[in-house]
Amino acid sequence: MFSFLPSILMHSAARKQPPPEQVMADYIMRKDKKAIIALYNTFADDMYHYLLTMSDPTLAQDIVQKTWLKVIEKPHSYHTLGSVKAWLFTMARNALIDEFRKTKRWVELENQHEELSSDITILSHTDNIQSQFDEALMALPFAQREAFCLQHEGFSLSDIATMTNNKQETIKTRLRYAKTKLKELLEHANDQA
Amino acid sequence: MTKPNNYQGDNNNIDASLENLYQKRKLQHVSPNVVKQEVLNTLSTNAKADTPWWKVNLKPYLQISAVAGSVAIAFIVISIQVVNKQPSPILLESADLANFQSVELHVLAPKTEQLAATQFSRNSSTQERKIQYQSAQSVYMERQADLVVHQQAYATIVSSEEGLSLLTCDQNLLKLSQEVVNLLMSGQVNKGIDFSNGQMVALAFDSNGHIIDIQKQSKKTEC
Repeated sequence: MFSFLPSILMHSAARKQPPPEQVMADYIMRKDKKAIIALYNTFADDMYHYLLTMSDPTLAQDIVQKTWLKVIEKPHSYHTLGSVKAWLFTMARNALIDEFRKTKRWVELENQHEELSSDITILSHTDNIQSQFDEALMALPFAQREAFCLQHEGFSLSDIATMTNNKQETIKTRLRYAKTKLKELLEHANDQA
Repeated sequence: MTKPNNYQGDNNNIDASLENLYQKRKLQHVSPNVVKQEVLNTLSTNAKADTPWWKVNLKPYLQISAVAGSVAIAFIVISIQVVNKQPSPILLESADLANFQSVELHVLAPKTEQLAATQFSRNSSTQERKIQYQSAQSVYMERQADLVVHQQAYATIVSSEEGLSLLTCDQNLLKLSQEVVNLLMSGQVNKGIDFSNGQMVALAFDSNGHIIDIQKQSKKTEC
């Protein structure tokens, strides 16, 4: 008799949190402050981590703030047929690239070699696998690092291709290179440890 | 043959490991609170700008409107009072009125008997008409005399054995009664008149032709 209660509770809990797309639609219609807060709590940390991985803490904080202000002031730029998270990350990425272009850093990033290199970056001698992973990730070329992050943020190959304005095959290649590199770096680090 | 399986298994393990490491990394780097605060501040600012008029906090507007309305009403009330303000008449109580004695001056309206004498009947005979005409002429002469008397502003005191008299400019002698003389000479109404022979005085008459006031004439006046 009581076996169905947990499922009801879980179902009720799930029902209490509408999908982000519905929340965004509510904000567009009613400018509900709570909707923005809910979206922020859902995606802000993911967005910040992505931007931090692609740049530095200061720039990441600045871009996050600018992106959310844009969400508040121009919510109608969101197309209701698409993913809210993809829309947010796209805006954040575009803002990041604009900042890079101001400092001409984007040219350098675009010219980074993406081929699988046999050179293995020497990681710092540390027993902390997490730190080694962080270093390995930041050592990846910009494009590979970005593809890896976006995939682990839950985006599909198609989403990543659209967001970065590249072909899916290009994204697939970048992901393969990124994983291979990280694997080698981690294995090398384990061997040295 | 097992290598592909192991390879696939290794790949899966690697993916899982990388995923695990990635998620742990995310937990170590969360969005700063200052960013969230800035977002909330922006929301509050925009909320005030986008609030429909029926949801706007009307308290400050009501306060300002109340003050402005009160000032306007006060201004209107004051304006009405200023516009309608008329000099208020001096209201005298009936007791005050009793202290005054009204004296009618210079009403030359004909007396009742004088009017009656001027009425002519169509049915009157010739003799009756002749009598009526004579009566009317007499009334006319009396009224002429009244008019003349009323217009006599100055007179000269004439002292004789019979008492004081006033000689008007047209040589009419107005005898003053002893009572009037005593009154004029008494301290109550002493107007400083020198009741010597030849003194010129100014006269004031009532509607009945009675002298109601005699005033000293300081300037030398001639008829």
